[in-house]
Amino acid sequence: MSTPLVHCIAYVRLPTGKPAASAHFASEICGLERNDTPQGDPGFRIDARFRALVFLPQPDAEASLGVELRDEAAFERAVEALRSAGIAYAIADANACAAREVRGAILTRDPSGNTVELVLGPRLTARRFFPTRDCGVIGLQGAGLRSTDLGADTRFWCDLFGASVADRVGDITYIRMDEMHHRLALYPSASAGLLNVVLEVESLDLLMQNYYFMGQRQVRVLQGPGRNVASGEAFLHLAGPEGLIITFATEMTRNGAAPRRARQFAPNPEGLCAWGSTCPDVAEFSGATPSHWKRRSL
Amino acid sequence: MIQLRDLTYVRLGTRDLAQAEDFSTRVIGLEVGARTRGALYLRSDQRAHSLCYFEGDPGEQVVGFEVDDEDALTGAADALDRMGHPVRRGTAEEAEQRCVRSFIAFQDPTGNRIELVTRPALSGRRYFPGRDAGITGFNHVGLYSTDVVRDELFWTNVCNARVSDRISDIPLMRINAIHHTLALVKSQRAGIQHINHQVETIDDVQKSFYHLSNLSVPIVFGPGRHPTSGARFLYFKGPDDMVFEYSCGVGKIEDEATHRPRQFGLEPTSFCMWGARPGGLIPGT
Repeated sequence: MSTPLVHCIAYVRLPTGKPAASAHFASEICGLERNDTPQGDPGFRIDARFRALVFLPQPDAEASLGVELRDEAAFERAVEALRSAGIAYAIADANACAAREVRGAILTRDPSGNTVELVLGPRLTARRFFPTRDCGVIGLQGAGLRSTDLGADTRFWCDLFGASVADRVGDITYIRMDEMHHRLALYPSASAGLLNVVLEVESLDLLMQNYYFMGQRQVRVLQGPGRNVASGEAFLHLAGPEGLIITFATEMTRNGAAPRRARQFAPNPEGLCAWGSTCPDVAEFSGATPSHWKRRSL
Repeated sequence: MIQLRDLTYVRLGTRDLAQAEDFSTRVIGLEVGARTRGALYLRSDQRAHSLCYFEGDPGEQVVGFEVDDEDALTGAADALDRMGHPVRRGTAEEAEQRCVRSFIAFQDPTGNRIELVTRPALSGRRYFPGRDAGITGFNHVGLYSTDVVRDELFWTNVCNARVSDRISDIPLMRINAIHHTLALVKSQRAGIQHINHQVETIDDVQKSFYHLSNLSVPIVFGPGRHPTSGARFLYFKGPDDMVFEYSCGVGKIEDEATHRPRQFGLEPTSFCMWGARPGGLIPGT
């Protein structure tokens, strides 16, 4: 498959038991611009998109990842790919599309069970993103998903939708969709779920300013500042409410259009961070593979 | 006017040469150029040495600058003499210890020990570090000053230093295109406030932050970025409480003729635009 059907991450919808705390973290700590849903759920802008982050005040709901499809033809081909792979999906009705501010959506799950929404035409707005503080955020860059079956999840993204494996660190698999090194990272885990949301900041200066800002505001830095060995991006993993991990990142390698063979790095501190940062509290970021895993599926 | 051409070396007294060698090579990443009885010569670039530890009082701290030639050295000695700064001409043996052809020694108005040297030795063998710290060279020093306004006039009127920027009345002064080679910091005493080595990239600064933290080396300030020079930096404490700095990306003054010093206020962001607190380095901030 030449041009991938999937293009980038469009939005993230996150369940929360504490909407006020989640919203406070997004706006006051991360600096995101508030833009609530018509139903009054906390929504946020991150870039030119009308709304790229929504907190759903239903703690039992599942996080969903919105992935933008390239165009109408890609939408049709994605439906066909899911159908022929025998993967359950639903075409979003008008209400579901309106709630997501998209023209069309295919609602499905990856083999691990993560809710994935393949969307067409997420709404942009001409009014520019106006953060609550000078946080330097310039966009929703990507996301990390927990995976209980790296082999199947990788095939889901690559075989069905034309994405490709950028690199691996141990079993951590970076999925490339466009010129960015990766848009999606799949982390070996004991259960499915959204691991982190990655916000791009404009420069290393802004990343480091955010690092010291977090210190002043007593926000826990789970890891960083660090530099991802595979993607080249400098990053800061931040602990938000209820296990939410927001990652600030900058300087990710931009690849040309040409395909590139995936490289393999070792799942140890040196393979994960070029600067020497470590992440003792999040197993997924440490490159660990759950011990009960069977290796055959990879 | 005394024309300073380059920063040549720092000489530091120490009671424990072995500890100084261990820290310099294993932590900072310098290379041992030579060991003599009672002295350790350390390299950081093409210079035969840029840091010398000698057995002595850690309060004995000397900064060496290069001047053009013997005439310039004699002219400097005369000028300092006329101003009432006692000047001592180094002996041949002392010059050999410094790997220079000749030198004079004097004190700036605060009492910092300064040496002006001619023909400091380079080495044909390239610098090969003790660890991969990314050091590209010895770059600048900070000097304590009991009166920064008076001392700025000394360095800019008697010598050829020019002020690139000021933070409050702390002058960052250059003697060539590099943003600063000399910085003065208010204190009640004379001495070297910090010793800077340049590293290749921001990655080297950040890697050293984690490396030094893991070695339990006290981090004094940083990682951070100076809004004045633009350099990304890390300050840490070495033997005898001397502060060393790694930095990269120090700016250059592109237009010598038209550059005007900028004025920054005495506040933390003037020292670090990222938000690191400089209190450990600049008391009162």
